[in-house]
Amino acid sequence: MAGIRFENVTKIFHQEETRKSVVAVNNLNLEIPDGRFTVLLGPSGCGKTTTLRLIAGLEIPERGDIYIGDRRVTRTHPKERNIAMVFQDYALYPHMNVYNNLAFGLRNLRFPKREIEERVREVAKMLQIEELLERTPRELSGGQRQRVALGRAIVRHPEVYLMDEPLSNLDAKLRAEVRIELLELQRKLGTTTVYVTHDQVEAMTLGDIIVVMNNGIIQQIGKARDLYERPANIFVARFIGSPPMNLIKATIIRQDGLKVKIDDTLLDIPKEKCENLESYIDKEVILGIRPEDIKDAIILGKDKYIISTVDVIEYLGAEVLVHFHINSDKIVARLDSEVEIGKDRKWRAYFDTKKIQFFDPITENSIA
Amino acid sequence: MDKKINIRSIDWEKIQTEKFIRTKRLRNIFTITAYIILTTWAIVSLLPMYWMFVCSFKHIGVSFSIEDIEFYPSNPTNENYINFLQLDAPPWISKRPVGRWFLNSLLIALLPTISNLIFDSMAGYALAKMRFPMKQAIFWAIVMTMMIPEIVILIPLYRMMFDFKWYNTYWALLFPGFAGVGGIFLFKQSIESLPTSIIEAARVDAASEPKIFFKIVLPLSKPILSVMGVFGFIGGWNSYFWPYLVTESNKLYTIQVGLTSLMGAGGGAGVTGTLTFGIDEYGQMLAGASMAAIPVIIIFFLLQKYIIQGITIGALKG
Ligand SMILES: Nc1ncnc2c1ncn2[C@@H]1O[C@H](COP(=O)(O)OP(=O)(O)OP(=O)(O)O)[C@@H](O)[C@H]1O
Ligand SMILES: [Mg+2]
Repeated sequence: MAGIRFENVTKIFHQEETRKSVVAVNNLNLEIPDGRFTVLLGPSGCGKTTTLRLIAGLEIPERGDIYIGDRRVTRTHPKERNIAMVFQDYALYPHMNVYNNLAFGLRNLRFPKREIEERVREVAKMLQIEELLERTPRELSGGQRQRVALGRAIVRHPEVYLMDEPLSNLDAKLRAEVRIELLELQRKLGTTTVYVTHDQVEAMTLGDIIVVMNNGIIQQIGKARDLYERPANIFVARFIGSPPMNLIKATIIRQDGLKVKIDDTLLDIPKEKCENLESYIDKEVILGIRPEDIKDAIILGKDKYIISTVDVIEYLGAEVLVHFHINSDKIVARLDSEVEIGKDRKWRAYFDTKKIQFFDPITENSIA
Repeated sequence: MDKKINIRSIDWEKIQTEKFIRTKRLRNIFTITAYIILTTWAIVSLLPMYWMFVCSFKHIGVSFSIEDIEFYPSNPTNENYINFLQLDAPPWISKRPVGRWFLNSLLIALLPTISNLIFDSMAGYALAKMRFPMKQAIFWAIVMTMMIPEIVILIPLYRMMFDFKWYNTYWALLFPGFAGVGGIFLFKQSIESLPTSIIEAARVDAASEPKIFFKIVLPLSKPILSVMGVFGFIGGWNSYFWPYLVTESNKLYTIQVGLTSLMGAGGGAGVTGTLTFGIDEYGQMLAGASMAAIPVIIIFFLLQKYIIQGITIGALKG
């Protein structure tokens, strides 16, 4: 087992058709801890797959160095890296049966026949694919193929597992099941795992550590809770959570300490945030608030509220999403019960000010 | 004047059925026409073959006229075969080495084909899936050489054989066929369609590059390998002009060259509308030609599936 370290790694692609260069990974510095489940999360084209392929040795960076454990592997062939990878399309060898698919890597590493047999049977048992060993990939269902692909990685006992959206070809129900299994498996094996996804739910449930990327640059690294409660910038705030965090234009003013002004309403700012906001007095900021931190002022009996206009109410069973707006900012509140809206479609929204965040409108970074 | 049509009174089902019958009839006409054309074509192409076999069992003599063509041999005889193979020739005359001719044909059908399969598949794999500088330029250079008709390089190649002192040796017979660019192109196209992720999976699975080629790429290229193999074999077996050019001693003849050598000096069309062949009999030629056709026919029946695939691959690339 081993951790992985990126030092100032840059990967540039020169696209042949358009003759343009794309910086897929931009001066990446990243430490992936040993034995943990790390998720690379980001929108399409942000460089997640490229980062993974750099670890695998399927791409060579233009600049920088990559270490697995203490070994510098920047330019070594994949076979010398002792890693295993699960591909998005599984990439099973179509002309080999499941047994040979699993045994291929071990044979390349010149394991004795008996040990290969033992390991394959062990993994097949673990993944419950024992009856499938004689079949070819063509004769397997999507879920079974996914297991075989996983098995092919596990059987090698590598230092690192790399997984590129391995669940994206499964239907929603199966995906939720396999997600749990994957987590249990990783806990049991304790092998460093790097997992790529663009699905934030998957990232939140699986990742010990989540690395959020955009345009080849790391936006934030942290546990799911950190990303959710303290997003480092507007990109992360928008990307994590569904529906995403509400972002509202507001102004900081001084009036009995600091207050934040939305529309014509003044809201208190928690004490610990005031210090950082001193330099923003009388300036515009972006206020962020999660949908579940907006409540119905009447039900809670609060006398501080913002009067808003409701656009749509979505009833989702356990919860209700109230879409409303203040000036031009569209806002969603997640409530746990039905709300009463008058004929004028006005609603009194209460903001839980203990949970609000502030972002700089220009740098888009979190300020408090 | 009630011009309103009552929609309910229209028998939709009947209309549908009629339409169905009409399209079905149309389809039948098309099928029948296609069958007629193809059958005629097949007969026209097969007749000469058939006559070749029939006439090889007939006594013909030194001249061959239209009356000799029959649908079945009236007095079947195997004398042509005996004469062609010189089975009853007295031991003191030097026989023509028919066995060697067949062996040489086998060599020219097999060796260049095998080497072509090896080199073309490797080059095709490199061009399809590997990254290296000048890849596009090299590919286009290869495509460009495909545009040059073979006849244009024949004379320089022929001279080259002299310069190499290969004239009238097996080198000249076999070596120029050892690598062909057409095959590289076909292999590239075929290997390109394999998912790259399979190759990368093998790479991550600790396979060396040669192993990836032999254990992953080649087994998955079986269809194109078979097609190229079959066409290479048939092409080599039937090749005539090059072996004719570069061989002099009859020990190096292929069966095709050997057969024409039987025509002798006086071959050509006679004034009376008959074909005459100076020294030897026409019947012997047909016996030899029939024997030469047999391997190709056997291969064709064994590997029909791949030949048809090959034709479609050719159609797709063209
Ligand atoms: N082989 C390549 N040649 C050229 N450009 C590439 C290549 N691979 C990736 N890119 C470009 O690099 C950028 C990052 O790609 P990458 O595949 O890493 O994104 P990703 O985060 O995995 O996206 P997705 O979620 O869509 O898989 C993209 O702009 C992509 O177009
Ligand atoms: Mg990707």
